[in-house]
Amino acid sequence: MSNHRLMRRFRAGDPDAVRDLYQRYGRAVFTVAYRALGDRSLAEEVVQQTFLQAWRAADRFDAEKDPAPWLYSIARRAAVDAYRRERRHRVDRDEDSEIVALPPSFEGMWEAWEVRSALERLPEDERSIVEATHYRGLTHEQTAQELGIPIGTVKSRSHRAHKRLAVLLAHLREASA
Amino acid sequence: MTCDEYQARVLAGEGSSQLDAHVAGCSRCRAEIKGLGRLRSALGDPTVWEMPSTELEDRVIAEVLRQQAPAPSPPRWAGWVAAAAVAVVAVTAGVSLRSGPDWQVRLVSTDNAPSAQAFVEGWQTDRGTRMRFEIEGLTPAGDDAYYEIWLTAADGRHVSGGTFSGSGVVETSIGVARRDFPRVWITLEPTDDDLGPSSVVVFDDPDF
Repeated sequence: MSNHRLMRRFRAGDPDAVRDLYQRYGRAVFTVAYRALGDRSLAEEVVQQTFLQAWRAADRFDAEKDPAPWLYSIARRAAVDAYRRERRHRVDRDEDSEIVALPPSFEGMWEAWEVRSALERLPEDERSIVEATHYRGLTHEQTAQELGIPIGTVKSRSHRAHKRLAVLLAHLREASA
Repeated sequence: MTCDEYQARVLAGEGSSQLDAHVAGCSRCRAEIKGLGRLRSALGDPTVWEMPSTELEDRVIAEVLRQQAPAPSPPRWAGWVAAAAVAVVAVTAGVSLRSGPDWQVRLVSTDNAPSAQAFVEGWQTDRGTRMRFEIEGLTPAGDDAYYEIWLTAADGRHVSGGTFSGSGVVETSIGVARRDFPRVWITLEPTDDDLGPSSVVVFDDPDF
């Protein structure tokens, strides 16, 4: 289903669209929350708050637009709010502005969102190869043994996955140039 | 093998004499090495692979749909009173029954702050516009400078949205409507007598 159709259903208050939206973006929302807060329980609260706020604000969302930046900004705000609540931070307030210093863990949240979103777009069999390679540090031989598949299959899935990721995340490569 | 295929291998962390020889002789692939290294680092970030609990999906769905649950049926006469009360509140407050910003923009960083990012959300109020900026990766302005938010009209008139010194969350209110001053941007200002925006733009509105 296209994003446009999903968001039109979400805007219309279709309960099934809530689950569909979660399945499409919930993992990325959790990733940015966990990246910022470093606490699973807080990150899950942020996920809940994000989808709740998105549901409440859905009538203001243009269903023809990509929902990813919208959801990301809601998630980021929810993470900042969670951080402030946890720290019980006192700031000097003047009439017109309020500044909160965020910790370094809030840096790179957008990049984490983009990377997780790209991983979600891979087929499961390719994603498991990428996880074995980059997260678990396994060689192709070790991955083949663990997954019980031929090493040739590991290599071809790895090649396809990394070709896809190089394209999906090309804008992040350019940001570092 | 094409350059895209060689670059995929670099991204995967594979090494071979054939790959090394190609990269050494190909300016296009050599130019991509740094970016591919950054992607490899991002793919190895443990936070990207951390899993939420398996029950989270059902909890989220239940919490969201609880918002939609109808209230218990009131006595028949109470319906008229309740409906009138809601109509009065909606008319006098002039607000939607759902919350959320009226607009949101991801500002574009310039060469003066290439690795910084800024998101802004805005709410139209009866006194003007309230804005909430989330800024990261910005170098602290220093003792003799500050960052300043600007809203600019189509005819070039500027209104200052306030000042700040570095990355973080900035909330500000301004006495104009964004529809009249649509361009939102941020400059680095020296501490001087000039009240207008400097030429050092750090973030600009993508629609301008």
